[in-house]
Amino acid sequence: MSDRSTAEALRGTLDLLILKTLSLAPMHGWGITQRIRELSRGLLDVNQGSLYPALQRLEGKGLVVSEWTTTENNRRARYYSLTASARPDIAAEEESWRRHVEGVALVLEAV
Amino acid sequence: MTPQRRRIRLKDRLRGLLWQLRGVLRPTRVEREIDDEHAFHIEMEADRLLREGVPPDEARRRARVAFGGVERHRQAVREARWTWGIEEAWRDSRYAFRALAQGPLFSLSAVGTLAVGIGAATTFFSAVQGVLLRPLPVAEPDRLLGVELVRESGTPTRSVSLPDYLDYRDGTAGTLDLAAHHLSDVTLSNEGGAIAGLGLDVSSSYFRVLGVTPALGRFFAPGEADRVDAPAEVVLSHDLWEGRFGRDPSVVGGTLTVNGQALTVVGVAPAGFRGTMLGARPAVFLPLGLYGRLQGRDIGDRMGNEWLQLFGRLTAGTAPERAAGALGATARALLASHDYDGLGNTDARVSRFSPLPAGQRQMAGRSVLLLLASASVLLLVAAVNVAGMMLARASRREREISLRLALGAGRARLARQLLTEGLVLGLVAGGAGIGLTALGMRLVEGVRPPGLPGFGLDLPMDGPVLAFAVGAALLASLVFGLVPAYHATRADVGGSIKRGATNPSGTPGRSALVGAQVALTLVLLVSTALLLRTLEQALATDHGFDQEGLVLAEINLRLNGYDNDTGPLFYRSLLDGLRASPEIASAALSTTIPLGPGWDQTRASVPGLEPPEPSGWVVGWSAVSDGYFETLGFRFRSGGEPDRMARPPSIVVNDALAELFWSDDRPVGRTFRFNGQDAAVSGVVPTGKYRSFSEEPTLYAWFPLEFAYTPSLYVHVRPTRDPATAVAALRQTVASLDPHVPLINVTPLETAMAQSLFFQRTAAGFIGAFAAMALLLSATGIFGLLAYTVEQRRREIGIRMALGAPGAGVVGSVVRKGLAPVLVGLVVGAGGALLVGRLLEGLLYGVPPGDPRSFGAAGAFLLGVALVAAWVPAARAARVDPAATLNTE
Repeated sequence: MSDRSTAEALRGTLDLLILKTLSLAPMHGWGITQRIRELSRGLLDVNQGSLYPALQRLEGKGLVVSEWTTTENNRRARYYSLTASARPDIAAEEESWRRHVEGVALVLEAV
Repeated sequence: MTPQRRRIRLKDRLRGLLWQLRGVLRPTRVEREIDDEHAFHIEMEADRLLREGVPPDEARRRARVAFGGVERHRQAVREARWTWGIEEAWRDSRYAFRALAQGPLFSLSAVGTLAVGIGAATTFFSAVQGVLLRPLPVAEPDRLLGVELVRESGTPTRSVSLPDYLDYRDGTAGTLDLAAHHLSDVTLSNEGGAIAGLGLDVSSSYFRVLGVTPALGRFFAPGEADRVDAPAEVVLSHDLWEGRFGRDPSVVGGTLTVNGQALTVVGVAPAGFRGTMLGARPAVFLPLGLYGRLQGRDIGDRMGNEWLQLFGRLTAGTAPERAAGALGATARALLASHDYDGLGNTDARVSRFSPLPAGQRQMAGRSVLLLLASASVLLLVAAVNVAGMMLARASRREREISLRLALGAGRARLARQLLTEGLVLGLVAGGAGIGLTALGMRLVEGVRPPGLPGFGLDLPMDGPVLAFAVGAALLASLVFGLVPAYHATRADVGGSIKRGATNPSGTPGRSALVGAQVALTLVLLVSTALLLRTLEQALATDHGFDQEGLVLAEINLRLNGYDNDTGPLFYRSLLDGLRASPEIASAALSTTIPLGPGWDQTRASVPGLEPPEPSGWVVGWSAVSDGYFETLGFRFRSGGEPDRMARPPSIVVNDALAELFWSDDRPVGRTFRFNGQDAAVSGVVPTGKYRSFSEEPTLYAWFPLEFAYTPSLYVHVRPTRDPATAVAALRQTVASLDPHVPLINVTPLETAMAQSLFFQRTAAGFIGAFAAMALLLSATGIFGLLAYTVEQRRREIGIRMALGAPGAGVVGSVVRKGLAPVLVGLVVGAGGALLVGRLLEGLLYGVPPGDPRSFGAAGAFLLGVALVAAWVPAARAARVDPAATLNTE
């Protein structure tokens, strides 16, 4: 894989993680990083340098929408939620990711 | 991993797109949201750390560190939007506007300088378009061919007689649909009074060949307009119909009086159609065959009667060579069957038809091209000047630029920013330049050959003109945008911050720009000098008489019902009346004036001398009344005024003719054959200029008017004291004889004679103005460069003077530094002027294009201005106070 397609693959993975996280409930950027960390039991730590551009990209594509609301601590935060187009997209992405992992695992085990 | 795109619903995709556009439309708001979001992120992280037991200050610090570089994150978010490129360009231009608004003096002078250059170049682009490029508003102008015939002697001609035209028309049937046209002066009158204007005499085929259809009524019936007994009909131009008849459709069928003859109006030409002679706006179109009756001329002869110009429409699918072949064959057939006295035609050429009158084609074309070239040089000087200003500004901003580079701004980004500033400047100047072009076009339209009513260019502000202005603005902005941009990309990050602002970088570039300005300015100055020398030479020409103070007027009795018996009586009474007036010292009549619009020639020979052609030498001539030589102040070399009643007629000749015919130097009293009869020489006058200032010495003779009356004559009056009162006396005398006879074109004879210098005068005026502007720009360029250098070297100069250097030495060193690029510019400019001189060649008279006096004067003048411009900052350098300078460090 060239550098470029590696970056694209990683970006695709990050997009999937974000979308999956948001499928539970609307969340702000910091909440997304926390949730990914919790769900991966600390294995995955999303860098904010990639998170916010990714959110921009997803919003530009029409997969998420954002809205400024007040948090329980009375702070203004930007909450992201999925659009109607996002759910079938997540399903397809998940499927493709699973097959990718399966394939890699098979190769790793076989050799 | 992008196939999922297809599954995104249209509604969501549109929402995403709109969201992206917010970045362009509401940039500040979007930026603020990004910052707010980042701040929120850091706060939440700090809260989390606080909950883990970290002290508040430490928690905030660690949260910020964990987040990393704010600006880098900001940029990453921005770049995630595909609209970022547009946003950035928009941001750049707004920044450029702000930066330019911060230096209003700089911006205004730059915009003004450029706008003048763009306006001048665009104006003359539109003139070139109007004179040389724009096709006639007729059907398929590409298929129209102009006809040029070749004389037996090999010289080309474009004029033919009416009978010859009819033969050429019949001879080219099937290959070329041939038309003929001719421009003449007419007087139109109705109940509202009389106006002078232009009439275009046209063949029956004229409108058909052009594919023009009447706006109203009809054109001339086939064949009818070409007969000598053509019906008394007239077609109005659309302008006349609109301006004089208020678009009244009932004019068709009515009458219009042209040159005293009532003609039936049969139709109106379409709007925008102004005939086929560039610059002429004919008021009426007249049948060719009427010309004889309207102008009192016999047009039935083939010989010495060439007045029509030909053009035609090539038959579809025919090669132009076939048309030329048919014309040539007809010419040779005519030559075989008629006596042309050595002036017949042997061949023909065709070329794309041009509406420029044959005689003016070269001059007008050359003049507008020369003016476009000169205006472009001015634009270039302006662009180079602004480049120098931008560079100076960039040097002053060097600290800012270095700082931005040090803070991580990309060099490409900075260069783009500076280029954007150039483009913004250029486009604003382009807009202002288009405004100036509108003014310039009115100015050029107002430039009309004097004494020719109905002439003038039409210059519309059309697509190509606007495109040229925008193109010129963009090209100019490249010139002055790239220079500082290139300079910025080479800026040294550390040096300039450390040293402060005293780094005199950019001066080599600015010196080169000054040199370029000087070179370009010299080209304009030399061109001006050459044209002024031409005018000087021309006006200093010795015509053999004293034209100063003489008043000239034209009278045309043809329009007032005089015949060949009553006409001479009117003129006799006129001369007597004028001579009786105390305001008038002397008065006389002539058929032509030197360097005037008309030219008469005939043949002459002398026994014992073999002429080049059997019929004799070509001699120009004018018929003149008694008192002519006295009134004009001719200096007789020998002999004197002719005896009016002598037989054979008594005739005055010029030096050139006398020397050729009688080399023994005693011409007075000798006889020779002139115009088919004997004539005796009464006197010899110096050879003058008759048709153009640049002509070779020409044979010329003056014949008594008594033997050659024509109804249209020039009246010459030498005032006793004041030309104005003499003109009043002239008007009064004419009115007392016949109140219906108009005086045409009352003007000093000098002015009338200088009409042939029209193009030189016009070109000298415009190029001189361009040169003056370029000179001013160059001077400010030199001044700016040296003022800057002195400012930069203040410390060094202070030290030198503290060490005892004399003020004069300091001045000298500064001036020398300033003059180095000037001298290089002068050398390069002289080379350029030699090249431009070739464009000028056709306009110059008595001055070679490489005239050392013109080059010397222009160079010396420019050098003088450069010295003054360099002196001011140099003198300022000498006043540097060493102590004060050193203390500022």
